[in-house]
Amino acid sequence: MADEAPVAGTAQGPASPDPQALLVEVGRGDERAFEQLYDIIARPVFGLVQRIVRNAAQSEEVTQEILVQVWRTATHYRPDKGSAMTWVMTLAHRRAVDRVRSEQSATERETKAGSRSAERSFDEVSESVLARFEQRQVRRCLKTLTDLQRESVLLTYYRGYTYREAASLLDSPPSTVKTRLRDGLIRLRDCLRVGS
Amino acid sequence: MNHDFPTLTGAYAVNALTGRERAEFEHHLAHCEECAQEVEELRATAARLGAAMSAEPPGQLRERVLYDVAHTRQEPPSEEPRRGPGRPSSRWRGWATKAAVAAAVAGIALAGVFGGMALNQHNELRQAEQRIEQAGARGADMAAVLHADDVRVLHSAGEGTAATVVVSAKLGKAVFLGERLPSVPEDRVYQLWAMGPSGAHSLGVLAEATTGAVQPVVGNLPEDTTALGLTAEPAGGSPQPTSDPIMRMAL
Repeated sequence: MADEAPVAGTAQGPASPDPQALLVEVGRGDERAFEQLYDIIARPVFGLVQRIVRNAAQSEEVTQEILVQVWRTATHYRPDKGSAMTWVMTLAHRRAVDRVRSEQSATERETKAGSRSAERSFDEVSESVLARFEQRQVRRCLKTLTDLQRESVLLTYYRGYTYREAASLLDSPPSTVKTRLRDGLIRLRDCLRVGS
Repeated sequence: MNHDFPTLTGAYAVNALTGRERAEFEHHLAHCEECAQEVEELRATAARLGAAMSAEPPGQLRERVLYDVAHTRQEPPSEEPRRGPGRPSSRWRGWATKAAVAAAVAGIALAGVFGGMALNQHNELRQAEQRIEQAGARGADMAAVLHADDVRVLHSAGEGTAATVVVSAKLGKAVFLGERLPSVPEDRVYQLWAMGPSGAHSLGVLAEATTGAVQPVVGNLPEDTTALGLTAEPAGGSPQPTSDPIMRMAL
């Protein structure tokens, strides 16, 4: 492995450690590897949780729970089933969504939120993603979606609504939102070249 | 019943399915490789959306997480999905998370994050549940074990024998489901024991259900129980085992 070339284009000096390899090491009980993994995943996890949970104190608490859960359950991670980042973010998203669903009944949330909230979360994305190329990609790709596709994706992913709740906010039949959501994600997948 | 499963991959990938719909989709997912592939890709896509929100967490968080990690035991790894015959006869199957298992038993599977492992666990629990129902012995005790938040499923298979144990350490109870046991002479019965440093405690004699399947047994485990053992005993059972166990399952 001594002759491994640095990854082109990262421009970060020494190549940053590979999350996959780290997560596998974490699964073997390596706390040092967890520290390194923490430095990679803490910001994305916290950012996503904050977006969904909103309350600052709760976001911190949920983030802590998630990061410890990553440690606890890393033993189950199978690299052949997906990337470490996907594994961590899926876990984080579920925990954050579980938290908001248990805190608030759907009806409560529906009275507060209008479909405008979809636009709002998109704007928030736009503001905070300008800094990095990766984030600009996401923004650019979100723009390629139809309005209903984009709103379906944003309301479910960033707000933690079920697709049926999203449908009611969007005044559309659930079956329509269900398919737009999938179409939107597929379009994003292709635009972001996920998996290629 | 939803016959529109393929279109649910998107909603599932972003946790926008709940309850029955989610459980049904997960059941479908276990048999649809194409769907599983798409779910994985859409999850990877969603993860990119999540990462785009990156934000600096509060300063103290790192220290607190690392402290917790230093004091938190990791879950045992899940084992390979299936192995051929001739493998060690008794072993723990993978544990799913408390939420995944509790929900799976309730028929509202949450699996997914843990991929094949969670689905296996889910299916095993469901099968265990079905067998209990078939045997017509779904007592409150058994339901309590199946719904315990620390439920674990232990599967043991050896030559001519197979059994599943569902156990909750918190409740101190285990449900034993004999699946395949060699027949015993008419004057003998199988007896189940909780074994530990303080000796063997009878959990009961296995009765045959009218269907021919062995009735599940639920028993209280003494605190020092380290294993369950099954012996053939004279009809009516014995106060203590009189023969070597034909099956032993370490807890």
